[in-house]
Amino acid sequence: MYFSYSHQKTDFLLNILGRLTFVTGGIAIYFLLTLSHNFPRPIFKFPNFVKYLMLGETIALSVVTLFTKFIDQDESYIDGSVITVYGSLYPWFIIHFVGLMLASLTILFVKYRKSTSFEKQQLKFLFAGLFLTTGFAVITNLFVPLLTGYYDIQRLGPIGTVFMVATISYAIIKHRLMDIRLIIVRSVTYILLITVLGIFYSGSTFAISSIISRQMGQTADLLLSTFFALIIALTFQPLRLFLEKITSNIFYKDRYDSQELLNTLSHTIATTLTLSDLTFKVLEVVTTQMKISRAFIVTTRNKKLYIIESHHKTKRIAISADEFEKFQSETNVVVFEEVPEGSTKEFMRQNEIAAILPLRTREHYIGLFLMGTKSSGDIYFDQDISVLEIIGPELAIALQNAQRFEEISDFNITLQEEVKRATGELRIANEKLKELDRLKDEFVSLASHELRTPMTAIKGHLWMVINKHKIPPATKEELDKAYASTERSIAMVSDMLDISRIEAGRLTLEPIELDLVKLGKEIASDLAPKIQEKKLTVTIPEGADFRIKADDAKTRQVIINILGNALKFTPEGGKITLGFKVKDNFVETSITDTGVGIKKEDLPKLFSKFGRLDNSLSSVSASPGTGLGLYISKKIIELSGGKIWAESEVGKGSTFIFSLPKAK
Amino acid sequence: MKKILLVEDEKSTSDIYSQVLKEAGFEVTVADDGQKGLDFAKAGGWDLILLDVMLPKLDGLAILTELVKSPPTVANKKIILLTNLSLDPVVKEALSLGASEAIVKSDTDPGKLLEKVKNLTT
Repeated sequence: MYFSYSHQKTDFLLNILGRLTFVTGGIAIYFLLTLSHNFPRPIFKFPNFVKYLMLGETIALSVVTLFTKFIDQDESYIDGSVITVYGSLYPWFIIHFVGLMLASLTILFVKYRKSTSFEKQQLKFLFAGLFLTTGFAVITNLFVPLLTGYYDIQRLGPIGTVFMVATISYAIIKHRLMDIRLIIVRSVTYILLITVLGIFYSGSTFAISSIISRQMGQTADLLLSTFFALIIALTFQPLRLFLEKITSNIFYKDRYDSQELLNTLSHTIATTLTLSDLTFKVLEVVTTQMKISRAFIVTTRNKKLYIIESHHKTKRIAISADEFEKFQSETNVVVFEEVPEGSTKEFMRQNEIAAILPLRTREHYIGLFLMGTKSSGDIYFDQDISVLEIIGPELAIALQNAQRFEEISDFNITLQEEVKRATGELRIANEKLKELDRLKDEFVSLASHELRTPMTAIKGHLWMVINKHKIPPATKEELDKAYASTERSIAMVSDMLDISRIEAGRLTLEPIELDLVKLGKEIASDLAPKIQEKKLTVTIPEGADFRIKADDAKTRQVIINILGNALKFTPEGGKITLGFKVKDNFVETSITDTGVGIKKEDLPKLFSKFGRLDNSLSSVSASPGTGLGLYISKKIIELSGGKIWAESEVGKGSTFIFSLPKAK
Repeated sequence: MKKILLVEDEKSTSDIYSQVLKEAGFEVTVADDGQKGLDFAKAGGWDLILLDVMLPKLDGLAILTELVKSPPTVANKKIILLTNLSLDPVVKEALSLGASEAIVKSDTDPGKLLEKVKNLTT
């Protein structure tokens, strides 16, 4: 329709060209539908019958258009214009064209709505391009001519393709619609290849045949042709590779080997543990290999943002915690050109960030990998995106590990400091306690001294009256009781002193070699007046040599305690028996009496502080004692490395046994 | 006759002890403060010194220390610590300064003490 002819009459060629235009339009719109359906990938599948129906319809329309007058009846050239006379089935063409176009646009639009990120952008521009172009064509080629009868406007139709070219070019440059350089590289490679082969083949054939074929005739020509054809066949592939390499090197000057980059990164990640080392090394590898002007890793450290930069001299990025958190739900690589105007784009612009790789492990958002522009000025291509998508999770896990490692290290340090501080505090507290303890000990000693002094005087005077004066027996009896009470008070003070020392851990023992038999006899002789008073029989085994290693005074104290109890609780005429037995490295001393005995349930109470038993208290209230004796004895024996226990039967008597280390 | 120096500030105690000891035939000199005690002790020649620790002016340990520093020309035969104080370190120090043993006054009685003195002076 758009061709201009100098002939004024309708001719065959004009008709054919006119029909071909319709055929091309009909087929083109079919291909447009196929493109819309498949780009970048189909989102639904056409049922087979629909597919074949559309194909069949398109073929049928083409055949009908080309060979019959039903669509394009006639083309004639009148007054400088080509006039088309439409056939009776022309509406079929209109329905075909508009229907498929609407279908294409609908599919693209639906895809645009459903897609995300850069695909959305690509589809947007493709849709816009198609919409504008087809819309323009429909207006100029259909509506205006049909409505006004002014057909010249049809000439404007092709101009509409400018929209398509513009939007698709824009999408290529800005939105990675396709790697245009790849197309250029391929094209250049093949042009060069054909040129080289052409020159070589034709040149060689010409040169050789001009020399040889004159003598050898047509057979030689044939042979030569075969020979060169073989050469071409053999050299085609290596030559192509060679040329491709050269052109690639020219066009992909900043290309890097993805595999090598990933290997280097994996190695770095595997061999670096601390957060600062890891991040810095990763940044270095990525910026160097991908040729990025600068890059940052933003993550958290001790709940604060931690920003590591690749180059110290570049402008630092300004990122707030809110901005950091905003990328939390982002899973794809964010490329500046694809980000719609808004806060994110503004953030990237202000910080000169061209791409953002969110770092996520399966569960957690770890941080961001922010990249500046490429040194070459190129945008981020699919190769870069793929590499970054692989790096992302790996780096996220590495960062998480590094964070955890640091947390544990920090925790250890904190713990050490805590322990140190607490130890320091404890030491001070301990010093204070020691000082307090010393003061308490001193106080108890002085207090006991002050108590003992008047008691000593009372005791002394009573002793003088009882022993040096002639007094009536009734008075003596009273004074004896007063004397016994004084002794009891004095014993109480001594016991308190002992307990104060034991509990302060200040009871010091000086173990020496002791003969238990001798010790027993000495004590029995000290206690002789009391023994005689109650007409008791005390038996101590003769002859045998039972030597122990223990503190003299304290061991004596224990025996006096137990023996004293036995004296108290054994009725007149009873028996007290001392026994010694060597058992392993110990000597067991037993003191058995024929006293009132102790109930089985009371046995454990015996050695506790103030562990006096009710029944014994009431039965022998006259006997002096503090109730602390056995408790002190137990402590002394235990401090000496031995054990003390009691066995008893009510009414028959008790046995107290203690073990002490045998002398070597 | 055996000479005994009793350094004791508590009058009722020193009265009782000196009475019992004198009756038993000892020559007893009583010093009722630390300074007098030291003066007497420095004169030397005592068969036995019964030394209290808690004393006015000069305590028992100070007396012992002085005696170690400047021993009397005629040595004192024996010194016994006679005290109601039960501070182990004090007793230990006294023993290291020349006292031969320590007796707790409240735990003994005049009779027992006399026995002890007799044993120590023969």
